[in-house]
Amino acid sequence: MLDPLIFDRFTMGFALAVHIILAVIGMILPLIILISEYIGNKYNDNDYKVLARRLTKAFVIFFAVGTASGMLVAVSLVFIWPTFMALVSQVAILTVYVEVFAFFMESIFLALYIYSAEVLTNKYVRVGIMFIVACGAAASAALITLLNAWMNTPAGFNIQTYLLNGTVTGINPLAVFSSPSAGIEVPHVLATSYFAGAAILLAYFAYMLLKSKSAKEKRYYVKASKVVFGVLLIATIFAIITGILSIEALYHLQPEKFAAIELDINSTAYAPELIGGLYINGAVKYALPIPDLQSVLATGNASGVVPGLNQFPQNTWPPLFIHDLFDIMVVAAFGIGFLLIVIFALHLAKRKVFLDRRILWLFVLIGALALVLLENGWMVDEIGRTPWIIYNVMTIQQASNTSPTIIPLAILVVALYAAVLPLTFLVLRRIFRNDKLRDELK
Amino acid sequence: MNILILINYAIFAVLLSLFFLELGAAILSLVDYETYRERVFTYVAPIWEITGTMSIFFIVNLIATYPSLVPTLDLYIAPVLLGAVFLIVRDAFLGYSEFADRQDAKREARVYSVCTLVIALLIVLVAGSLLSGAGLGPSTNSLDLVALINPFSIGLFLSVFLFVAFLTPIFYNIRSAKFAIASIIVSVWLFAADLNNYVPYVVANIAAEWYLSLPSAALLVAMLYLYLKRDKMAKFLVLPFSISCVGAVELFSYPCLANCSIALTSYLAPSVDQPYILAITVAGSVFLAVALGIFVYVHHVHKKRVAKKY
Repeated sequence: MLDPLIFDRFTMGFALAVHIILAVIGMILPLIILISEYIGNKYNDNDYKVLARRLTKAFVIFFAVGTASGMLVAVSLVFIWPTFMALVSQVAILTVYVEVFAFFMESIFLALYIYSAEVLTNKYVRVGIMFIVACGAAASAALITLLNAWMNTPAGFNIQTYLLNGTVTGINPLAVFSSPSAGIEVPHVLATSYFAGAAILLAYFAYMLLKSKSAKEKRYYVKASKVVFGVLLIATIFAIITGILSIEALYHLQPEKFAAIELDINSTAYAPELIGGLYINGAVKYALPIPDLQSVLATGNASGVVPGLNQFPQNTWPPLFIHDLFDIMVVAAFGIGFLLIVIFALHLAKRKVFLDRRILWLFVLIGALALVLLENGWMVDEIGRTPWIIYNVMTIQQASNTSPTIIPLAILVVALYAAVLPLTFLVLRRIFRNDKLRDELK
Repeated sequence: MNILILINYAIFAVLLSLFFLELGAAILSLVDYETYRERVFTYVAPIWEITGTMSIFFIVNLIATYPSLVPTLDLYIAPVLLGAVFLIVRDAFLGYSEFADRQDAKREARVYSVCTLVIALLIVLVAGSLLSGAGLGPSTNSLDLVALINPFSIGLFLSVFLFVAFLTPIFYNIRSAKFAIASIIVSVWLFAADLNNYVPYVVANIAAEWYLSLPSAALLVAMLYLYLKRDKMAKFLVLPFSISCVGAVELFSYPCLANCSIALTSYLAPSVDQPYILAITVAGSVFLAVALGIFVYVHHVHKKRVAKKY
């Protein structure tokens, strides 16, 4: 007999894995359009104006698909995790509710930007409109992340009473905006989302630079790459800083997840940072230890004590492969950050980095890697919280819809999500094939 | 009357009315794409994304307003999830058609139209069940999906279809007065008969509170007058008329669902949440109204001024 819980988890995981790609592209595009529109108008540079126009077409497509995908995710949350949503709707719904208005703001002002292009005579008004769209996108991301932060560190109701008899008392509806992990999770998600979106976009422009033979087109793609590279560099730095702060927050707020990420079986002082490694037959093997580093990063000094998984019941341990996922993420992020700084330094030294084929291929590689890191990061966050859907309050099992009728619907949702991304990229390719860049460039 | 319920009703009335206009566009697109393309997509092109966002607004408002109704709503997973899937396809193809060449745009518009019709059918099935209780088990904790298709839902679908057939010529400026008038007469008669047979408490409320339908009647008269006089202002009354009609049906069924086996007031959000939901809704709606007003001004009014100047 097929276990509906497996379908629940796979469907939600798959839907979110696809949706997050749409979401980060939906965040980066309005920002790049805004910057391009501003530079194009300020310096009367047609290349930047063309960039803004062409990216707007892509944004409309991604926004359309992203809106519907977001709705499907919302509907899936209600039907796949009804017990979870029943609690959220009483205690933590306000952040989702406010997010709808942020989304509306984005939607209306995007329509205004597109459909009134020829009648808005003041060019900076269009910049202002796209600024509002970009703010709406960022606000939507932040507000949804607040709900995720609440899932990691629930607040705003009497948890003891709820665990005792299932009744929801002592409700503070505003607590979801300031749950303990909100202050670090929101900046980290925003930074990493812009990082991933910018990396994907830079990979595209780098690839087009590699393919392009026309001097005009190369000039265009170099300008596009410079804008996106600037955003990528800033986002990467912030992602690394907020990532380090996130680990410190995890240490205090979710010690089990911390211990699993660090593969600490026993609580210890002078804890080494373990790079790699597997938990086999009750022991950690094949890990490369960096002495004292974990204690220093988590507590500020080498004698600091870090938690161990043995302090918690084994049925509350998350799967320990998240340690390796985490390590891949951190090593890759630091590596990318270092490379970007070197490339920036070369650029300042007047080396033509955006025409160097080796660097362009590196950008393509970074784009692909960023996609992996994006999914990786969310897997560490979500799988790292298991078996809880709301930490220490509700397990995934308790939250799920266990009716067998979920199975055919889950298959339908997965099939749709499997098709929507490739189809979207195919359509974009067709649109830009018919809409030749060289016809727009002067 | 509870203010949160009234707000939820208002959001649904606006959403459904926007959707009716899109449904009319979808039907016209299928009937004769070339003839009606420009009229239809002049409206649909700027507004479809807002309709999609409105549907998300309604779902979130529904969950926020009636959190303990979630298990009952959960029973409708199949048609709602199917509707969401068709919404993705609809959005995707409409987005694609904006930038496609003419031949591809026609095909993509047709996909959009079919998806919109399917979504309309699913809405009618779910709304019909929630209004009449058809398919819901005695304790509203089970649902017979097959029972969603029943004489009430068939009658409801036909009356909605005819209602849209009435609104469409007026909104899209198509000369078809006899057809429009016949549609609205048959639609109202069919809907009234449906309610009388399957949801009699609503008919009793209509008889007792008939004055709630006065705004709809007044708008209908004004709209028909302008339409028959070939005044293009008639189209600006279509949306308010539709909103008032849907709103009137909601008020006549207040505060029940499922043939009064669900009392909405007992599913309301905890009292501590209600002021915040109300405050956010009011503030957000004011902001939305201002933003939409700016959009309408720039898109229609300013465009005319620029056209006149040149």
